[in-house]
Amino acid sequence: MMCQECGCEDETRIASIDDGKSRVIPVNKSVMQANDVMAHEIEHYMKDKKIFCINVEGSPGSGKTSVIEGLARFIEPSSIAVIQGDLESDVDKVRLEKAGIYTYQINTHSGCHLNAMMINRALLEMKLENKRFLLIENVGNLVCPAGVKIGQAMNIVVSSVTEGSDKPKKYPYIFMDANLVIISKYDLAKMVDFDEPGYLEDIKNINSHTPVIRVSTKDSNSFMEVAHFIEHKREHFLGVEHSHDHEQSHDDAHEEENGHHH
Amino acid sequence: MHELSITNTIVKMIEEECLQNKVKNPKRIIIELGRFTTYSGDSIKMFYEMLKRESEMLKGSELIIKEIHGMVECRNCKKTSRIDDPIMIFCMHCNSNDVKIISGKELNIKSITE
Repeated sequence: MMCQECGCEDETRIASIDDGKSRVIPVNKSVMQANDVMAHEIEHYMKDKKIFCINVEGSPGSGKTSVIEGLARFIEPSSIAVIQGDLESDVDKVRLEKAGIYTYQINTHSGCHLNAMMINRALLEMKLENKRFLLIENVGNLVCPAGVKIGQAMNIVVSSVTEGSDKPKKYPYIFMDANLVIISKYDLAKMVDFDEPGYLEDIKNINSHTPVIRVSTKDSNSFMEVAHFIEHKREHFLGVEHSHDHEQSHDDAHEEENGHHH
Repeated sequence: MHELSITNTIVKMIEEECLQNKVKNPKRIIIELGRFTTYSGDSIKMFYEMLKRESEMLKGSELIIKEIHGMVECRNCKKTSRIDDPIMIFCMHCNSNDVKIISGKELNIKSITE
């Protein structure tokens, strides 16, 4: 935004109206303030209860619910709680409950993403005793959930091979914030000519630190790596002492992200 | 409809700020919008024009959207770079991709001019 007189970006000039009578009131408040304060409270609540909260994002049909089902093969289902977000229906709640996972359904009706207020309302009604993980399956959408805090400790983006290998380029913002990218439906990769090297290169250009794990519901063992990853992240989150024989290098970014120093 | 909800929040916040600061005739409100957010400035302005008609206080006001550049801080050379293309996030000085995003995700009400 340039000042019309001299082309400078002086915001005082932009704000003031040249009639000599105007006053400029500084506000400097985030529009997301109310949401972010609530998200922060949710984070504290989760830490208090030792529950690791994960925001699971991805397009409609990318495989978010399948990832949660897959995890329940390697993490005790009774230790997982899910908040499921969809515009309408309880299709995924019914599905997850069949897998023995306690699920709360949020129907947004027209909302294109979940927000902290919705999560807070859900938490008031949920029973979370003995839960170690809260997985929040966000509304299927690669655009709107990006950057909206809901009290999560981690973001997973689920991206299926059938959506094409250009999704990171087209929707970079959600990938920017990912702590883990899951390539799903991997058994179909060859069939759809999925350009894996190109996809991985694009991810690296947007978010150099996010690991990528391939999964397929045709190979249930493929979810084991995801389970190990989130268990490890949970340990960091709780500040639990753990061994250093894991693959993730302990560089500045890892320490920054996990809030610890070795 | 993504921007309708957020613009509604903006309207409520502006009204509250006006009440608190005894602003009777707000003319210009500056909104800072980061390059890496998923909100369209044009859509926010459009919805604002629609919503302000329902408010006595805000009828004569306009929103000005100021874009905030995407900036990263390099963990390798410690310098900052401006990022215009969100699909290529690199340090402009040493080419490292080991960078931290330090601006570009804002959506702020910066100021109100009466």
